[in-house]
Amino acid sequence: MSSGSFRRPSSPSGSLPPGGISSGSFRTADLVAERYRVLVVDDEPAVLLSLQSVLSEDVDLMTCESAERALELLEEHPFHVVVSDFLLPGMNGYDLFRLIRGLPEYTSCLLITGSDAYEQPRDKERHYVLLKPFDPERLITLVVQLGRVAQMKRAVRRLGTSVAGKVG
Amino acid sequence: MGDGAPVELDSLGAAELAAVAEEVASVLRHDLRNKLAAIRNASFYIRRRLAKTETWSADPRLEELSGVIQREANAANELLDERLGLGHLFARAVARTDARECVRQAIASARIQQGPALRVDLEAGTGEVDADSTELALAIRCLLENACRCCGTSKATGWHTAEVNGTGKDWRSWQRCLKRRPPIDKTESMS
Repeated sequence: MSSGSFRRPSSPSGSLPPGGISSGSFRTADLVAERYRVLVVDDEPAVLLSLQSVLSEDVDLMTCESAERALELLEEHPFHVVVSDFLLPGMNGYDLFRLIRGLPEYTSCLLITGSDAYEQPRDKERHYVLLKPFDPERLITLVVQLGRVAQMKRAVRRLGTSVAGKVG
Repeated sequence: MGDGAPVELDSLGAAELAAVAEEVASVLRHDLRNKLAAIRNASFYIRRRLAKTETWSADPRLEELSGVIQREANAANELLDERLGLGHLFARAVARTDARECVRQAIASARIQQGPALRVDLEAGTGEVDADSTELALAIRCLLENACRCCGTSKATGWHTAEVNGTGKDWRSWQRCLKRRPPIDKTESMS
């Protein structure tokens, strides 16, 4: 299962109050107008379908079954959050996240796994982990929070670039 | 094994059996957790969609059965952790270990019936690592047996070098096949 376009529900939920406007390329209104875009990676079609069903009301979704395909999609589309299984055919979820950390835009990463073999990496760049079978409500909450984190980090970075441009 | 006759275990046999059992159980736990995750997610979605309909309010069993799915999935997951957790069969005890002793233990119990003679060279330097001695000996034995099995089936004329390396918390072991015979200037060898 692999989709090439974002899936939007008919009735979006979780709307936020309108924000203010500041000068330059950074606008706080950007923070509230955007719906979070999420990429879900899992090689089990049943799990992928169920994850898509759980998340589709709250975020815009794309799905794929391998880390390699995920990297292609990340080149074509900007995502706020990548949710990935740990054990995948080919590259695993942790290696996928290491490559995502090298992207120019900050992207939040959430690992979901039922594997005993997974251990949290010792480096500083840790990612969030949910152990299967998780509470679906918890997944939604975490994904939305991670989307917000990515949005805020990008906005702060844009603000920093904008200020640096004016000072320079 | 299949005829029900008792299996005679060598010194590392119990640890090896425990490791194999835990590996099989680990794969099973992973696969079952994936299925339970799909069930929980599917149930959540159906509940969320149905809860907005008249059918949901008209039939109280729908909510009740939805709760049953969630509870039973949780209970099944707990059973997986409690009953299918075989970690207790082999409790890893990491300590400062002389890797050379582990190599000797591995050689002494290696199950090599046919094929090339086994010769192991041990370097004279200290071989101390932080490891569980049984686990390390077992890993080395697997390397040796695999190397001999490989030589025996492929009739390869090369040498297989098994190395164990490590000084801190981590140790690594691997084997590689050499085309040429390595120098025989080691201080210790066993055949």
